[in-house]
Amino acid sequence: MSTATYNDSSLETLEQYISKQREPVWLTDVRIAALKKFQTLEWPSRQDEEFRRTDVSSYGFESWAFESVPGPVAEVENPVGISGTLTLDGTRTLRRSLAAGLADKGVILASFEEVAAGALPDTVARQVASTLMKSVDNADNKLSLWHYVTMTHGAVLYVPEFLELSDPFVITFDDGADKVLRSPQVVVTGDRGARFSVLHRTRSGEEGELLLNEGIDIDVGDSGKVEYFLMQTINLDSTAISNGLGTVGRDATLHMYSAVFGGLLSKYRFDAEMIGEGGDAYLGGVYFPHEDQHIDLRTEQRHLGKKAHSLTLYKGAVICEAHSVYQGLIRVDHDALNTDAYLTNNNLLLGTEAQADSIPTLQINTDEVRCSHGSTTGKLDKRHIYYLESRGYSPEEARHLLIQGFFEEVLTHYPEIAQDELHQIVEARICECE
Amino acid sequence: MKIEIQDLQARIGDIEILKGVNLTLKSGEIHALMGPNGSGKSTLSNVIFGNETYEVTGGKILVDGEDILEMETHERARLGLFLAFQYPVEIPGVTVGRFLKRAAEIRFEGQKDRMKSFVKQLRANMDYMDINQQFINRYLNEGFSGGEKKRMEILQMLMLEPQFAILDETDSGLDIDALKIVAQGVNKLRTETEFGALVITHYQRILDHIKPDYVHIMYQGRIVTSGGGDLVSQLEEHGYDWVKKQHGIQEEEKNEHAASRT
Ligand SMILES: Nc1ncnc2c1ncn2[C@@H]1O[C@H](COP(=O)(O)OP(=O)(O)OP(=O)(O)O)[C@@H](O)[C@H]1O
Ligand SMILES: [Mg+2]
Repeated sequence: MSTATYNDSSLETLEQYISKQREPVWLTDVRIAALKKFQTLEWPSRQDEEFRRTDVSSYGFESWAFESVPGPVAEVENPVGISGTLTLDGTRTLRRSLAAGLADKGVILASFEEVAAGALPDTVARQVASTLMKSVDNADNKLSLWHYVTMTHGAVLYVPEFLELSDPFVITFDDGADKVLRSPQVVVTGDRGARFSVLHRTRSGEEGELLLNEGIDIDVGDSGKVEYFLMQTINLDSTAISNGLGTVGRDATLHMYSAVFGGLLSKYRFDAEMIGEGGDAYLGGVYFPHEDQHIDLRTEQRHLGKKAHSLTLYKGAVICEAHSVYQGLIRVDHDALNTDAYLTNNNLLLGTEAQADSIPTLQINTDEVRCSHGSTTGKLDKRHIYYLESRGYSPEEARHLLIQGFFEEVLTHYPEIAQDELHQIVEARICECE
Repeated sequence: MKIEIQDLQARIGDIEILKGVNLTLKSGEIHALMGPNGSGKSTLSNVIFGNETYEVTGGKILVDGEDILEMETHERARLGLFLAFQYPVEIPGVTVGRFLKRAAEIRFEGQKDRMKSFVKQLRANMDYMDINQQFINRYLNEGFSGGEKKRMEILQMLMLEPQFAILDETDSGLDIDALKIVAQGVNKLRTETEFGALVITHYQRILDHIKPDYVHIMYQGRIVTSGGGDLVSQLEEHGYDWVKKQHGIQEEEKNEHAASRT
């Protein structure tokens, strides 16, 4: 990777950026492939279905500066109860740790600059390359392709065959910069039968305007299981765009959780693709925009393999003048017989000015499927409040308990280390605009 | 605790439901309240608890001499009143343990020692109610069977030790074993604490296990007759028509409604 700063995203600049990368050819190939598609597309506008309720036209994406500054990674002691950590600040990777014995077993937790320097063995590099290439193919909007062209920093996690780890990996992106574009990329590859979990935290300083354009690619090998916990808490001057793709192999399981709290505008998308027979995906989401935040989340359950099961549960509360948009799609391919796919979106309106849009859709191209979707949007249920009050809870405390409970169905799955902070964020927002 | 309900009138929208209820209830007493569907039994319970759906248009409810009609629901609960709901709601995401712990903290505020033994007590009461300990970590009432919900109401009652409880058809939908367990819970409080209850029911069978001191019959928003335990068997034998004839009740009210809607 190079250390220069690039002041815009004109074609010349992007080409120059790519040519300056000192990285394996397979990685440059990903950027080049992305750039080819990137050139052919327009920036998203409200004419595009996915961006109909989320206006990004005022961003002037091309004029954001970006850089890719590597830093020496310090090996630090690994915390108890964690499989490994990688901590980044801006594009620099600061620290890494790995639980004893994991490196010998073949676990790789590498920063992107190490990957660029050739840290991955060939077999792993091939898997990572094909995962990234697949996402470039999958990408259908210019923002996502822009990400794959620019990829400024990030992490690669590889867990070898049949290794089961009960403690989570923790990857943390901190950033205190102002007026820059960041394109963090995380690739998680679980080989056949590997079972593990990852907590991915994205944070920022209290001030500073970041434009995050993130990519998350998860590949769950046959019979494997990956639980991925996303937790985004950036400041309200910043913007987050996130595109993720999870590929679920035969009899494999992916649990993808997203907790999105930050960003003046946050636009998230995660697609789970069930390629093998008998795959299982669970997409859990929570969001709680406040002030004048706008959070837009989209999920897609894409069934290609037979007998796969998928379930989405997205729960959001909106308060103050905030606005949330949730779009959920279940797409069943004509070969995906005996698919079981469900989608639920629940929204709590906590302010008279707050707004929540919910657009669940089914696209079913075969028979013999069981699919359903449901969505609710409303205020707290008066009967619930009354019930709690009849047990002595004050109306205020009843409200707090019910809102916490509303999110709990998803948040309860998060690793212990994230629990307190998640609850505190929710608790703080409940008290606003009352 | 003494609860005096005096000429209580309440309505929903413009439909009058309670038309002057008079009833005096005390800790240490078990009252049964019977009456046909729609006569206003649940309405009375909810009005005692200050449910905002119902508008009180007249009368008083005194608890130990103090009118509680201006109090909010939670303030009434904190006096030591308890309502076992006819249809308990499901509260997603809130575990039984978490919910009950806080409810007990509120009920026994300032009694630190009591909270120290909370978990022990909860486990003991769950055993007593024949509720699996795993329910502590389940979300309140979510996916519970009808019978489990009813037992959960009584478990809460045992934990909160009210001075007076209203049991709104806690017996309906229970099999005979569950019924006995519920009755056992009521009898436990009755013998161990200062406790009274208003047991709303359609059936004699629960009253075989919880012997009431008084029985009241409600008809079209009024208590039309009261008596001892023997009233139950008379009612069981002759039905509500007999009550109607005995008390010369006519169907005037219904006509009134029909008229007011046109
Ligand atoms: N929320 C409501 N909205 C409209 N009408 C109501 C409501 N609640 C009760 N009512 C009406 O008030 C009347 C009394 O109802 P209530 O539930 O008090 O009867 P009940 O004696 O408890 O009957 P049951 O034995 O069936 O439980 C009924 O006619 C009922 O339809
Ligand atoms: Mg009733």
